[in-house]
Amino acid sequence: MELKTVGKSITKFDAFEKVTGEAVYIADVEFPNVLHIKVVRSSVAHGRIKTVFTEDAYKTEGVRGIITGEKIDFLAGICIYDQPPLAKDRVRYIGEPVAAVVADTIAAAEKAARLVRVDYEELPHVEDPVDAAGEKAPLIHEELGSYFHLPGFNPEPGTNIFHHYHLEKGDTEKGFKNSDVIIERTYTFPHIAHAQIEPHGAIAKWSKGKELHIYSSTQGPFIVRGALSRMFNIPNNLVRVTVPYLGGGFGGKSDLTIEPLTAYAAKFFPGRWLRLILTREEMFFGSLIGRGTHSHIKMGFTRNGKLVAADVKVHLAGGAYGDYSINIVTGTGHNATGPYEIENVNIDSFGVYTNTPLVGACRGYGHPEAHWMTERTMDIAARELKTDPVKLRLKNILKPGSENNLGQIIRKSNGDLEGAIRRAVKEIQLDKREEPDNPRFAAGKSIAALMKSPVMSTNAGSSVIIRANRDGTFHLLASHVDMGQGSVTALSQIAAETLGVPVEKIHHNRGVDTEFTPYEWQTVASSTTWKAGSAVKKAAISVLERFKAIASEVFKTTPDKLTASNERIWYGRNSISFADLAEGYVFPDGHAIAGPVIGTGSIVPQGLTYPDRKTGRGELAAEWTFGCQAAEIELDKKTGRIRVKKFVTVLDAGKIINPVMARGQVEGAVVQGIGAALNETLIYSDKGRVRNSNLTDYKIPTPEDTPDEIVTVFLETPQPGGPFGARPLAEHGIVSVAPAIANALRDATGMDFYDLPLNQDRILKALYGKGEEK
Amino acid sequence: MKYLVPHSLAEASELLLDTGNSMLLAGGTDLLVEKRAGRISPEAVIDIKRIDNLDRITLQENRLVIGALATITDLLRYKSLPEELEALHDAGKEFGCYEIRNRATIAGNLAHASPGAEFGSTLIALNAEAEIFSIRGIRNLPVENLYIKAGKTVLERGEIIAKIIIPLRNNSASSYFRASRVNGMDMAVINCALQGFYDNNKTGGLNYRVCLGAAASVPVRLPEVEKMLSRIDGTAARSSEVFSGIKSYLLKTLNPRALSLRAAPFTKKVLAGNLIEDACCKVRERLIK
Ligand SMILES: Cc1cc2nc3c(=O)[nH]c(=O)nc-3n(C[C@H](O)[C@H](O)[C@H](O)COP(=O)(O)OP(=O)(O)OC[C@H]3O[C@@H](n4cnc5c(N)ncnc54)[C@H](O)[C@@H]3O)c2cc1C
Repeated sequence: MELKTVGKSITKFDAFEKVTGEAVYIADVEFPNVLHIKVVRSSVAHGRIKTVFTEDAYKTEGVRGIITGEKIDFLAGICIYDQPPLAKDRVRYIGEPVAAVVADTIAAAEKAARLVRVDYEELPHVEDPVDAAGEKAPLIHEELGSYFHLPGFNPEPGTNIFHHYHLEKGDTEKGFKNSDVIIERTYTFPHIAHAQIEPHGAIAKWSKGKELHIYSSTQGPFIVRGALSRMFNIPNNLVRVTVPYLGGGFGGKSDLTIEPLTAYAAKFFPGRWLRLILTREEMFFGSLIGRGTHSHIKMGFTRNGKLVAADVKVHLAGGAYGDYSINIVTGTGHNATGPYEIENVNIDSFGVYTNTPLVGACRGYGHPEAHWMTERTMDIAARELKTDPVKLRLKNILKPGSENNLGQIIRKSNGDLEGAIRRAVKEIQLDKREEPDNPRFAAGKSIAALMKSPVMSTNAGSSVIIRANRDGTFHLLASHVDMGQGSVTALSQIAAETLGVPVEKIHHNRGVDTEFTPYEWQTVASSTTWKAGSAVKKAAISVLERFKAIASEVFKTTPDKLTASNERIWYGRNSISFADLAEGYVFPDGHAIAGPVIGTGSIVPQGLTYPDRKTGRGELAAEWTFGCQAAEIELDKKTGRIRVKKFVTVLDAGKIINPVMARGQVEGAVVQGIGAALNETLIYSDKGRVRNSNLTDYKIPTPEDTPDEIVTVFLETPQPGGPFGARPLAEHGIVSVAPAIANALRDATGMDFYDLPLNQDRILKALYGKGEEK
Repeated sequence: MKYLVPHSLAEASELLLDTGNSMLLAGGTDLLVEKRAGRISPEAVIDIKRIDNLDRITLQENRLVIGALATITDLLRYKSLPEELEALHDAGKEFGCYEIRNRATIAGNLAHASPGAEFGSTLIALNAEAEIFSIRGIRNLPVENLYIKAGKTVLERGEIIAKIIIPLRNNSASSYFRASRVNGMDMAVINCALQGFYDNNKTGGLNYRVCLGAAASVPVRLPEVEKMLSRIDGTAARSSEVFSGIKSYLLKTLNPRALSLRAAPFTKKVLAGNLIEDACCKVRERLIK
């Protein structure tokens, strides 16, 4: 069947309001009599709170209250409940909220916040995840054993390990014994920031002591609803979460961030809106940060290049509270060895409490960390084995019939990794060498393969409502958050295609309101088009069925005799328009049947399970997206700067619903990945303070830093069960950027790097620093 | 905080003297950043943007005069920039982004005294002077003598940089290079401005003025390096000997701040040598062309 809307590059529905400034973001939302919150944050990385002095702050004109954590008797969380909304007795990182100053104006709140003095008894602190997991480390949560957590997680009380994910397959001891070449390396990926354009915000109000309404810049309104409802012990339907337009998320606005704090403070001022908007600086320590892994990998190969064993240890510096990164630990774990079939695997992935800001979801979700080690190691192995890195990969990749680490059998419909690798090699012209004329430059090329699965709750549901209107138009109501990725448009395309109407006839809600729009787990894991899109398709089909049921009454036949096309229901050569069926069909004499038509669609991912307690295996991935990336770089040896001349991404993402938007996602991810590969890192002082909490010294790429050429190719092996064959693609462009660049750098210079970012300090030290001190 | 708008330099100088903790406001691209960060909290800002004729750039017989309110964009658009002052153009092109260049003034760049400021090292290499106005009198000061430490100049209360005066020099050329972390908007990790000139009759060899920014707490001239550069005679062998001499000299003598967020001291030292080499080659190319 020829598709009319799906597969077309429809302009984003919300482009106009965003370009004109009409779109309302959280900071634009205004209420009368709003009170402002300024957070007083811990200035020590680890300590006991002795006294909070608020007298001076209270004297500031306009101050209405100063709320501290003393009386808090609950812990917030989703997977593990380990964090109070305000520090109680104890602080665990610099930036942790200690008090919320509430005032008539933000200026008054800020002024008073500076006057709050906190005395601490300082405790030893630890930032490195391997140190933190060690026996000598200061214990950050003595109460770990008493924390509630969901099944599938494995805290180790008495240590800083809040989750230990273990996976085993085959017999690694035997595997290494049978190996001729063993490569062992250690890699690090530093803490990075999401640097969303829009800072986090929340505005909350309580009424009648038991109803809570909160506006929030969240990717997960229903997650927020559930967590607040549990925290305050109020029913789900009395917590209302409204999300206006969202200005970028990248995972940093998923799960919970500032909502518990805002809601807790608002409880002291019933009937009034309390507003908290983070500053740019607070974005680096007051919400969520990303990555922060130390990984050790050992890979064993036979002489002819068969990868037979892998042993991996990953330590993730999760920050002072573990709830936000606990699933990344699992995701990094089972993806740790990349897109390869390995008979014998042993993986230990540790989520470790550290005295740093909190790590949360960050585009890629464990996969960039994993591929940074695996794809570097594959290149190194190819050298040791004196074989071609492309051949070595092709020999070991997951292909139809292979069994992955989890025990899943890969099917042809999972996508064409071999095709992706071959295409990337072709696009980058890997066999063509061009030496720069000027000897100050060194040029190199390389590839890095990738795979990704959406890491999600086993019951990560989506639901959608479609309402038919009297003029033949439709409302599509759903609660995914369009933060720029274009899901509003993509889902409208799926609805239009299924209903057989022009896409202009679909209106999708902008923003989300848990009071009106139906349940959605959250907008993460690149899952919306694939997962919520399936629900849209179901809802559209249910509308058509309803239309047919009504029309069958009119035509006095059964629905199966009817067809839908051209916005009409047909019975032979007779037909009735969707418009006439939408809100109650009216016969010529005026009497009407049926009522307004509503279609619904609901799904959960099929067949997900918790990991097996012993082997860590199981149905942890609902599907897979495979791909390959390739970089052509030029190093300026005098400045130590890398220029990415060309960057190629080939993804088998199934049917592409909207090609321009899909390419936009990949290009955005590539540029973000280049930032992390070349420059981005949070810099800690020896006291544990983030020193570069601003965009002056946390350098993200600018337009001038994008590659000269970005090539994006989609292979389209249809995904069974995905709407029109679509599968996830939004994060994937970031997964293997760093290893592709580092492999190309090795190609250019012969230098191997294991730590990120590949900045001037690292490169110039390697080029000129023989015998230099650190 | 009070916002005051004088209409003459004299009035501005008087306001500075009369109002306790007050600061001049030109483009505001430093002042507002400082205020937001809580590093300054002036009781009054004195906006000098309504003073007439301060934004002029004029070419006089043997000097270029840049008014206190001339912005980076004004400089970049200035059509009669003498060839030998091309370093100014180089620096302007590296500076910030379009929006910032439209507001940021060259005088403000000097007055803020940030160690890596584009025009600190550039104007020192070009041997520029600042004309400093106060109702108590006018004085001229080489830009080289303007700095005390990061963020601090010798300007006294009531003093305003009214003009920047750059002498023209026959048989000279200049260039400016900077190293930064990204290509787009960034601050200098280290920068280097260099002027090469023949003595009047072009009899002797080339002489140099070299100034580094962000290598220390103030822009620094490098007399020893200048001497070493003057040994270059145009042969490749001598050039490479001189440059490697300079590089090892810098590795030994430069002492950049250990805790810079932009680069480690070793990085800065390596970059300094490489930038001097690039800047010198560029100057020679410009002179010989
Ligand atoms: C995003 C961004 C990017 C930037 N990029 C760069 C860059 O690439 N390179 C660079 O060097 N700088 C950069 N800066 C810093 C800043 O833009 C420059 O230092 C600029 O030249 C300051 O000029 P202004 O007119 O804005 O000064 P203002 O902020 O108005 O004033 C700066 C200081 O100088 C004083 N002052 C101003 N005029 C005078 C005067 N005539 N006499 C005496 N004192 C005076 C003020 O009181 C104040 O203390 C950047 C700033 C921002 C915000």
